[in-house]
Amino acid sequence: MSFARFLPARRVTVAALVLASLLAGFAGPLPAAPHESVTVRTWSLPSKRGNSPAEIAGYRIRERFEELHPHIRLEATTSLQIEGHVQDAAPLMAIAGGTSPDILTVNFRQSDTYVSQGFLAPLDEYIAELSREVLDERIPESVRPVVHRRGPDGQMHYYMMPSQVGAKTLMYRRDLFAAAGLDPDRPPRNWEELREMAVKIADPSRGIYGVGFLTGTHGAWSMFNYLVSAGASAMIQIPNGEWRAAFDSDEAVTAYEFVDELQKMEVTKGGRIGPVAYRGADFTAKWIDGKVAMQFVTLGGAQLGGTDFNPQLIGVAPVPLGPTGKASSEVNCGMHAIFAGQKDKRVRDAAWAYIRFTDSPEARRIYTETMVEQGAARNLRPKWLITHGFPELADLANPGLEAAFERALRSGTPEPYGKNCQYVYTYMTKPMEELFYMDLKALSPGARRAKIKEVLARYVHEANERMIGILPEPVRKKRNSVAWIVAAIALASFGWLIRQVFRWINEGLPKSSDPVSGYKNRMAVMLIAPSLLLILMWQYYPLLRGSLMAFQQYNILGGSVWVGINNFADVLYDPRFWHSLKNALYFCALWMLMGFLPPMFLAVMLQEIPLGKILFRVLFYLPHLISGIVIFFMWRGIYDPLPDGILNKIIGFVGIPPQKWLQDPDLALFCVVFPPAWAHLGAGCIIYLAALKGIPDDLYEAADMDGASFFNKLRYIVFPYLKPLIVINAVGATIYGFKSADAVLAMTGGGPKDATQVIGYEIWQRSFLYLQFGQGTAMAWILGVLLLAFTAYQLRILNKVEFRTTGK
Amino acid sequence: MPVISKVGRSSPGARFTFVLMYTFLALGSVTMIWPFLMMLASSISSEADISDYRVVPRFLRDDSALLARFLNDKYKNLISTVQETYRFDLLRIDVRTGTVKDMLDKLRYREKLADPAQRKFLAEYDEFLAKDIPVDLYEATHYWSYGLIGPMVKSYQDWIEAKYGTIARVNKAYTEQYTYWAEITPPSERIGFRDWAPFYHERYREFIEFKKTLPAWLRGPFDGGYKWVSHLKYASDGDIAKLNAKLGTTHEDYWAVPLPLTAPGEPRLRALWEDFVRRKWPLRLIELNEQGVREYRAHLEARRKSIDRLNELYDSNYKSFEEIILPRGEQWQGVRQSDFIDFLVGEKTDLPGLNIANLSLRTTSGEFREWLLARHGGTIEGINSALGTKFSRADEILIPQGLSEWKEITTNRGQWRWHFVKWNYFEIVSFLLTKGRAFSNTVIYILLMIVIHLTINPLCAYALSRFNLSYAYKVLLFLLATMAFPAEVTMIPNFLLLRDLGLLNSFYALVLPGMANGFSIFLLKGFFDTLPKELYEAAQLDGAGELRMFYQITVPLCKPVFAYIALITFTGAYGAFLFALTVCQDPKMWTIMVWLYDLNATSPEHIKVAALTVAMIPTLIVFVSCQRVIMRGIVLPQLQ
Repeated sequence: MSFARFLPARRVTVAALVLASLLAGFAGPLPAAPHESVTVRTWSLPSKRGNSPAEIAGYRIRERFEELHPHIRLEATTSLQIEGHVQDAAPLMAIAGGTSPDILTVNFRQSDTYVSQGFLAPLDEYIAELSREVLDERIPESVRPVVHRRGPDGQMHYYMMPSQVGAKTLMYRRDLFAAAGLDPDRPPRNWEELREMAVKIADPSRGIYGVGFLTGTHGAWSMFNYLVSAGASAMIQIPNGEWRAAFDSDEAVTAYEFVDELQKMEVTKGGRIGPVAYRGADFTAKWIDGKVAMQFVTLGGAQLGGTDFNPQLIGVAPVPLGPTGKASSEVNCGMHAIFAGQKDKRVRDAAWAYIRFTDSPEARRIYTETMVEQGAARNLRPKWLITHGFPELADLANPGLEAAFERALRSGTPEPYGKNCQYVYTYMTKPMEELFYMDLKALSPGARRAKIKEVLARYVHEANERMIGILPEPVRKKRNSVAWIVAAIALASFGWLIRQVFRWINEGLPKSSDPVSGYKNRMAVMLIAPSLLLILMWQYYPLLRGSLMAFQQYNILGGSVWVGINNFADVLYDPRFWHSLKNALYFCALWMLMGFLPPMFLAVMLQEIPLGKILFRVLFYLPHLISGIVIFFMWRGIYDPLPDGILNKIIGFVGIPPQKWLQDPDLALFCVVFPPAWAHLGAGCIIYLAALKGIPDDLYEAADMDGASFFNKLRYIVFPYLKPLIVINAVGATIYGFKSADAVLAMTGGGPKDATQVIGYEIWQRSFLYLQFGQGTAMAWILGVLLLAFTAYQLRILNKVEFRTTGK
Repeated sequence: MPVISKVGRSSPGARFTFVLMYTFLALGSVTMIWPFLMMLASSISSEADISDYRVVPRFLRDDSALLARFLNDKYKNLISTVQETYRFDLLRIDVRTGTVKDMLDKLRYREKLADPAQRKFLAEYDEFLAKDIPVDLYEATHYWSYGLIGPMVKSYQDWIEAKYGTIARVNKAYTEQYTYWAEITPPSERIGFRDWAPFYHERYREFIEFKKTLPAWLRGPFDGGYKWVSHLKYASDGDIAKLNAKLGTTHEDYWAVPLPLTAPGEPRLRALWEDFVRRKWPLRLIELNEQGVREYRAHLEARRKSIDRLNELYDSNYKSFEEIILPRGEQWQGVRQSDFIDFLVGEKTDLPGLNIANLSLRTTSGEFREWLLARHGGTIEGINSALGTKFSRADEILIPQGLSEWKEITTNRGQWRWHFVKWNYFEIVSFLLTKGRAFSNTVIYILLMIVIHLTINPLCAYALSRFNLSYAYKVLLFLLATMAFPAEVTMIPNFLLLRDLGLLNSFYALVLPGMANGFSIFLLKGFFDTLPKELYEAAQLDGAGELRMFYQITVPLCKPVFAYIALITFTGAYGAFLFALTVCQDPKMWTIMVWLYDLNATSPEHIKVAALTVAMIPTLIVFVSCQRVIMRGIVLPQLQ
């Protein structure tokens, strides 16, 4: 240290010691000695507050663990539960923000993202502790490939530990079977029987359906069982470890064909014709209501069935056999893993100890005993009851439950878990939807299969390109050069804009500026500096950093890879991008029509009417007081697609047949635009109203003298006076219309059939849901360039006008 | 001034225009008000009527809807308990389809209440229910989950508060870590479950004390009817004709088949009943006669061999097998319970079992019969002559629990309506009150934002406008230019920057990124440019400094703009939740909006709507009281 020589030697030592001890205090805890306690943080922890039997059991297991490991302190990390997609995003944000807990909860869909981004620490050394039997018990054969896989280092590792594996099996309503004259003890054994029974049970006159399918972006989830029973796979891993979408095999065609046939079948009963299969996003609600006779339900781990699982009403059966005599169903479970960001070996060990204990034989015993003691024995898996000393309670359970579960587990196929496979249902849903709206009846069986295969192959191709990013080298090169050209144009445009704006502003510059005195200059710098620095730091710096991300394969934990122009090239050649841009254009046009124009007319009306101005003004302003998200939720309720939904009832008065609203691809975008436009009407009109008030009275008086008509006055007095305001609002509305994503996020999530997939939502989805920040940012840049003209025009107008408030 | 002149107003054309306009405005207003009212209506609804979509909720006018609400709250939508109470196959509680209304029509409760004999009988029952019903035969109802409270839990919390006085004492007594009274929940009971037994020892004992203080409407007696009917349905495939054929009876429906409390003589019924009792009846509600207890002891002796071994397993200290009595209370757990189950089920044939004749069941109806008999001379005739009823056999006397609830609802209609109107709001407010810092976080955040927005941007604008700087426009351009770039690009880097600076989970994170705003500076500069220069020159002559001039000249002259900025800042900060959550993931830093969103994600629909309604109140107050500010502060562009 250079300043040391000014100090006597002894003082330096003392000062250094003091400094060191102070620093130690700030630098965080020193590596803990072995006997000291370690804290392990996890997403959720059973608490004493719980009242349900399962919660009490969970808490007892935790208590026992703490008793056995007095040096381990468990701590829960609270996180907000956000509806919809954002739910997957919250843990990712925590990882990004460095607030991630040590024990992570991972699902199959996201497992590849977690593994490939290096979020998970390999568990191999820990797994090695387990005996063969324990391993087989805790990681069933069907789940093994999910948890044991190739990591970013190219080696095979165990990354996750399943907890309470669940599998799907067939549940059926005994009452509906009986009502249709079928034997309630004889569920369908194969697809043929399933179809026959569904037809027998369906009764349009009473709103009863034989089977059901989900619609929406993840609709294919409800046909996954058919797909794997036919022997097909959603995705496969080729020998070099890469993933491929594979739902266009012959087996897959069989499954799609069967499902499509089932979805289109109709029966006539009680004088009414209607479908055999229910299709809708609220399919589960229909099942609970007893309107759907058969459903595939996940039986989860220790608890088979729900709390209101009534054996008299609901029968359980193995999954029906497919045409090749094979049956398979979805296997799924939550998985625990250790966060790779946690480098402290002792914390990792402690985390593993807890993961291991939560599903250990002792934990299972505590669980079973507590459930029995709490009177919830009949929800337990019969096998556990028998193992843990309550055989007499086991026969209270649903007959066939254990057998169906065992079989489902053994023959099960894990939910897709490959690269970016959170997308896979989306891609599998599209052909399902497309086929549904296609008339295949006229085709011969062979032609029909060929047609289906063609549709499937198209989406498999799209999935491979988009999800996996498979692209031959020459194509890549060609695309990149196009992207460079586009990027050059973009850059040039931005340069032009900046120059242009400079020019405009210079035009408005006051020619004579007094020389500024030193005091004034200092004062000015003092006053301007805070804003300047803040904007530099919070807008320019992130902009720069964000722009760099557009050229990276961005990894939130570090280790991002430069990919050059690839992201731009991918985006430019991505049909989804263009599709969402087209939708955004349509959205924008609708918004101009519904969001931009009406407030002007409303303002004129409010200005004209002799009575009730204030009253109407307040009434139209009301929706503005409800916050955005509430409006969307409210309208989602109003757009109830059921025949007796609110809006359908209202249009029924005028004799219009019921509509599907948000579920109708032709109507959906219109329905999405309407609520924000509606909410904006009152607030939007106030500004015009204020401007109208500012028109000098003598202009009207002069016009009256000349005998001008109402519309003439609007045309020659009002319009010119309002023009700057109108233009500014028009440009603002256009930009909003292009970027808007919130309404889509809250109401449709991009569906149905991507009809509402707008560009703003696409960017958000790619960045935050799929962590493809690079592509998201690249898209945002392209959008920025496309809107450049508008932004430039907006800046120009802003420069030309001056602003005044109404009250002065 | 209106476009249509005063003179022109009475012309037919103008009148027609006005009619058109009013029609438009009226229609528009309806679409504005109606969803608003819908929301208000939904905010006082429950699961039972949330989907009814009526501006005036039906429970305010219709007693059957009121009962539906009552049932939904009281029995947590556990339809089996409602079926048992009303002895009716009610499939779901739904006001929209009028299921409860249909039930009431079929049960003819209105006529029953008009009958004096029924009324006397009901009065007797009400007395029994309020005072003399055994404490292990009823549950404390109105139990709420989802972190919500409900009237019973609320009165439990009040009771605990009265008993202990401070949270610290509660925590000591129950070894808990509560921070608020509203966190305390009572232990739950599942009387109708076969093998349920209480778990929390000290707490449960005290809870029993509390249970005895409950008013009748919070008591849910167990009568076993649903279990019995389910058993019968299961045995006869849900077809009453099959059951009648099997038993040789002529019952109209399942609910008409009486539940025998001791083994019936008729062999076919007896077989059905025995199976029911041995496998399904709640263990704690079985009583053994002397012979039965002897059989129990014999079973234990044969199974456990020595009393020492038994004491070890039971954690008891019996001297001999002769001392053993039926388990009581919490002892219905563990090995004791599984031994009793084996004894009862009798599958272990090598051990002495139980003769079904030595056992009897306890139900509320059974206890009520005894109670009535004891009051009225010990005979059915005594009861009939005192009350005017026409019972011919004791097992015809069933507790009129449903009728009692119906009477409660219809006699105290106003109170109940008011209760349902206010309850959801009560839930929201107590939820927020338990979230300690939610209020202070929100207030601090909003105040900080307002103060910052009223200083940093205006001062910068002032400097740009006042000093005739040669570089003023360059600065302005620099501040404005970010508008041209897509906002999405900066979202993630902003977050990462906060993280790298270690500012996440603090007010810095909430405030810093939005402190300066180029557009706002641009606007303000425009305003300041229009102020008369002479004022400043005069002030300068008086020796005023720049800051003083800013506060004494600029601010007063631009009051409307400043007020408007404050207002906009308020709404922005108050309504922010996704941003506020992203940068502050620690619940200690959550604002009201984030908590409400959290509540929103975990609670049922009607609570959500109520939460959103509550969230609207501050905005509503501010906007209504600032009507003038809004109208005066609107910023209008004009051509120069």
